[in-house]
Amino acid sequence: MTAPAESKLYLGLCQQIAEVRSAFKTRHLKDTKTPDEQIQEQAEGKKPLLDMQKLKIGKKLPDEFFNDLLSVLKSNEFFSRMEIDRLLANKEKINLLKLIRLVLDRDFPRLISFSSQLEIETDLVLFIGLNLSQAVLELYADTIKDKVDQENWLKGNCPVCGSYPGIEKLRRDDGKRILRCSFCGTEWYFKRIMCPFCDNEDHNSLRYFFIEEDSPTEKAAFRVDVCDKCKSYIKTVDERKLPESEKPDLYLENFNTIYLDVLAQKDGYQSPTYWMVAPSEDLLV
Amino acid sequence: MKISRRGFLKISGGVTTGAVLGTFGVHLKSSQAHAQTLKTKYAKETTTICPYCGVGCSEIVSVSNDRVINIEGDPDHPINQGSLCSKGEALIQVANNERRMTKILYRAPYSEKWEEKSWDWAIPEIAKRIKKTRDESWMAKDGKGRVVNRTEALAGLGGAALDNEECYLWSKLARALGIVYLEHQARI
Repeated sequence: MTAPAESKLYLGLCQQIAEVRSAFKTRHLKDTKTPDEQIQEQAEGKKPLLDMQKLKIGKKLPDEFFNDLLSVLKSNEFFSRMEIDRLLANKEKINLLKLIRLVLDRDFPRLISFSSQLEIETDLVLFIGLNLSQAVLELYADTIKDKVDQENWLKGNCPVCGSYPGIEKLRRDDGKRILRCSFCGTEWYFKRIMCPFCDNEDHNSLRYFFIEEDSPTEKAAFRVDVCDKCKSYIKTVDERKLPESEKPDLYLENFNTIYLDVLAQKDGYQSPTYWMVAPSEDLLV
Repeated sequence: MKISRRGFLKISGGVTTGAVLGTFGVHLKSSQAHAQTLKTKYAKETTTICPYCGVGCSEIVSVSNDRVINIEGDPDHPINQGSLCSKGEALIQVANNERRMTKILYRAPYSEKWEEKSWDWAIPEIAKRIKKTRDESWMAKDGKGRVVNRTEALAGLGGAALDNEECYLWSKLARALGIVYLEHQARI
């Protein structure tokens, strides 16, 4: 199943961002250190490693990645030229640390007023905020993700930053379910028959759907797991059903499979993560 | 405004709808159009224990429209951790198999043909033959005159596919019949 041609512009943007993000990480991974006091005791409390309230993100990293983002946005036509020009004109006025904080706190009302003060469209502001937070968090997460107790965490939220999973995969070797954090990109183990959003384990209210033309299911490398209790969904890439040479990039697959989000939402399910920068009732046709 | 992890579920959707979709909404139209051409199929997953041997591997069974569409090793189970032997891997063939018997077929001694029979015929026939063999072979005492009350002409073979209760009943029945060759198949 390939994405429709019309969304190539958007996919191109995501691809470009993935590239600058990876270069950004390579540049800084060596000298980024997460202070020990910020790593919580995971042992008894089962809390995420990073204490998001205490995490102090310096100005340097967001500033640098913001410039990376701007150069991508300038070269891609996804956002209109006019909007980007307005963004560039107001560049200095944007308090990036505040923006990151608002995104992490999911403070939508303030995000909306934040963008209207800058006279920049909220979707663009949120897009920048989201990508900034993800790039910076991913960097911090990478320095400490080895400390995650994979065998014992088994919770629906990220063991490093506590956020929701954005997408998941079934591992090629053994079908193990691995969730990927929608923010810091950390991957962690989770139970196969359980909802990561509400911990529902009743198999009668957990289902998945796939595209009928992909059946028999040997071909259905993409599926969507839904919970009828909390009405949420998460997209799943089944690595075992992809050619052995193919190693899916979950970050990009998430954008490649937006038609699955549309289908899930049409059936009344919602993604509790930031989805396409906005919750999505408007999408229903 | 602080939103807890659980609380956010309830309000997601309402807060920003229409406010921030902007550019993305336009680009989503193509995904929407694409989605409209696709039909979805739902399936449910449940776990089961493999019936073939005593190891007790767990498997995940996918069912769609009352039909088993996939069976795989359960990666979360401490015993098999997702792996299966070749028999367990082929378990779906127990459910979906055109060669699976759905009627009783009987081949009489020395006959070359299979005949379809009913349960009403088969069960009394089995009982009759067991009784005949047992009566003919009944041994009340052994060669040294000790009371044994047994038959050596019948044998019982249990299978790992039987559950506890079935095994209990089967062994009771076999012992009541005087069977001493009572075996099981907890091996592959």
